[in-house]
Amino acid sequence: MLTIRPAQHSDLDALAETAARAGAPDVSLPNDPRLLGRLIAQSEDAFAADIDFPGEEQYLLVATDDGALVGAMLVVAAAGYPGADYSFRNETIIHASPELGVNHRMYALTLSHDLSGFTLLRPPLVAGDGRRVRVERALVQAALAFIATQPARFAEDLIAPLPGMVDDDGESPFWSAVGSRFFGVSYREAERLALGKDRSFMAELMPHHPIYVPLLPVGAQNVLGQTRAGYMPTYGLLIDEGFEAERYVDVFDGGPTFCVKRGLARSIRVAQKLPLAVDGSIGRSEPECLLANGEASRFRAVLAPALRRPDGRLATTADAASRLELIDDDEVCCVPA
Amino acid sequence: MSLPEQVPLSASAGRFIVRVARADDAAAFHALVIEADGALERHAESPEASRATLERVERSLAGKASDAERGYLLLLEDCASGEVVGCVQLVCSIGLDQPFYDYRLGKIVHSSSRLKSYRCHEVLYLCNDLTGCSELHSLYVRRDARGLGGAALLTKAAQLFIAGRLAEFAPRTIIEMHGVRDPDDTSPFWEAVGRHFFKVDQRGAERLVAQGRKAFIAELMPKHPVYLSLLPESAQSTVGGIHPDIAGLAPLLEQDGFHFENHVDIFDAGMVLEAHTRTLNGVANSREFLAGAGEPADGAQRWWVAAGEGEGFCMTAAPGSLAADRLILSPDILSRLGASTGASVRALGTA
Repeated sequence: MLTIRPAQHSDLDALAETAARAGAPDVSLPNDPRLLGRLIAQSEDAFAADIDFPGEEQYLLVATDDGALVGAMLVVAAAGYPGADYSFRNETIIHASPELGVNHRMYALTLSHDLSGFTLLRPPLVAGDGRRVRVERALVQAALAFIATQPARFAEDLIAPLPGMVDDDGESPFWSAVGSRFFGVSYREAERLALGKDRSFMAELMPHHPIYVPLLPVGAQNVLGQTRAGYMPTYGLLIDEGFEAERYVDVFDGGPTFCVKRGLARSIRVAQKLPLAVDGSIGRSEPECLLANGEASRFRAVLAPALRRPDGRLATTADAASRLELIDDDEVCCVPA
Repeated sequence: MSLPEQVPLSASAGRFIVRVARADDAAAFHALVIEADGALERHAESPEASRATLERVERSLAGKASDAERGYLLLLEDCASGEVVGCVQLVCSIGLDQPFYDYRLGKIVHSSSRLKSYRCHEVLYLCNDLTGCSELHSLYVRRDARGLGGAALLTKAAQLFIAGRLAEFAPRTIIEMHGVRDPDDTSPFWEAVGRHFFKVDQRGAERLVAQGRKAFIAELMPKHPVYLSLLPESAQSTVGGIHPDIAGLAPLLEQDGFHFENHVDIFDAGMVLEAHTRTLNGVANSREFLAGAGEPADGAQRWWVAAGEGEGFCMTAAPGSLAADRLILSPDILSRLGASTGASVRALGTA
């Protein structure tokens, strides 16, 4: 049974292997055992702490199946904290002259801090391609269930950036046209620095005036707001969840940043808190739901067959209940498929 | 500005005079606009437009023009044929009716000590900095009259004219130079910037300029600063450039006190030259003399010399000798200038 829980130190080797297999880029998890170890420790602290408002916490969830690690997903409580998060806002400017009979829409990218403090969902990282969409969906739903049941830990707005397009050589056309003109460093180096704590260099080096999109080379315009083929399933998943990606793009590679109001994310909107009932008659014929307990450090979620009974209780299997560490009549958070 | 002119001054410049345009020059001026085939881009190719230009000049000479429209047209005339073969227009104050736009080329430094990165970015700011300045424009010499010093004569005539009516002109005078074009006559800068904002080609934009609608176009230009480093190399390299055809004109103007102060044209990024009006060579260094008739000595100094006020203004280049406070010019030159002995003339010695 697919089970999702907070990462712990014993997951380090499996996580490192998964991250290494995914290779560059480090958009989901750092591909560096030392950094990963530190991240797991931070995550354990975050899950264990009493939190009243989002700050520097990072929550790392892992998905296991039959005891094997099959995926992971990082949730950053407040993007950019304690500094600012940087993104390009795609603004619309109408250039009109009634005298000349001209009216057209121009787009300009403005460096912005708009997304600072928003809760940031990194794209799920899944080991192997076999059940990728299923595991990814479960991870996203579990993360949203965690946010729904622990609202004080997170912001009212959720964002999810996806990596931008690169060419066959791994070069980003957007970076070549924009970032490289402002930084004296390579794309990889800039990405590494951007994942670090001190992002003051962004303010120092990035353009303060808007960049007119039509003035950029066509190659850079074409990748604006586009993600790589490998992330299309995640793209679809986020769209299904109600995220939108019209307004913000990544400052480095022009990849889309999805945004949604917390209460409008599908999994949060439809989640129900119901008393649990262990029911031996529930089996494979019932639809699978994502079920989560409302805990923090003991957070658990499973993908299990479940059914809302006429008496208002959520019936599921004994196995699912035990994995959720719940017993009859405990409250369970259910995200219908 | 559009004319090749490599000859600062030659004896042949003496074959021309420069005079103020009159109402009955409308047909000749219209013919010049047609012949220029777009090079006189501020002028529509219609007889009515030429007449209107001359009416403005008339009103200005009569002291009846508004501050916004006050301006003059000087014509280059071939003395032998009496034909009008060139022109230059003077505007006393630009941008007082329609806004006058150009780009200021500025700098923004981005540096990070942590990344050991230091970058100086050139940025174009759309501005109206030159509002109220005086302007020389439409400097043009007919193709068949080039290489004879006509352009030099026109620029000096403009300065001597300004010197005679200094109160009407602004403290600063500018002149826009045509920017770099491709062999097919398109501007790489326009292709990289303007085209995206207008969705019309450069010719289309120029037609609108000729209709006096430059300000409308400017209102469609990017209001936010444009980072040069984000433009294609081909466009970057033309910013502040000069069309090769008029490369010889810039040094001529620079000798007279014009210089580049980081303003460029919004269409083709051509260099805008600026000068303090009072320190223009023809203003600061010209002197008034009483004219005398006689034959100047052999090897006498050559002068840019103008006679007459307002509509009587006439100018040429000629040898002259100084005798006491008189400038002795040949009777032929005097009659060409419409001046008689004892008349006041303004003259600038050639270097």
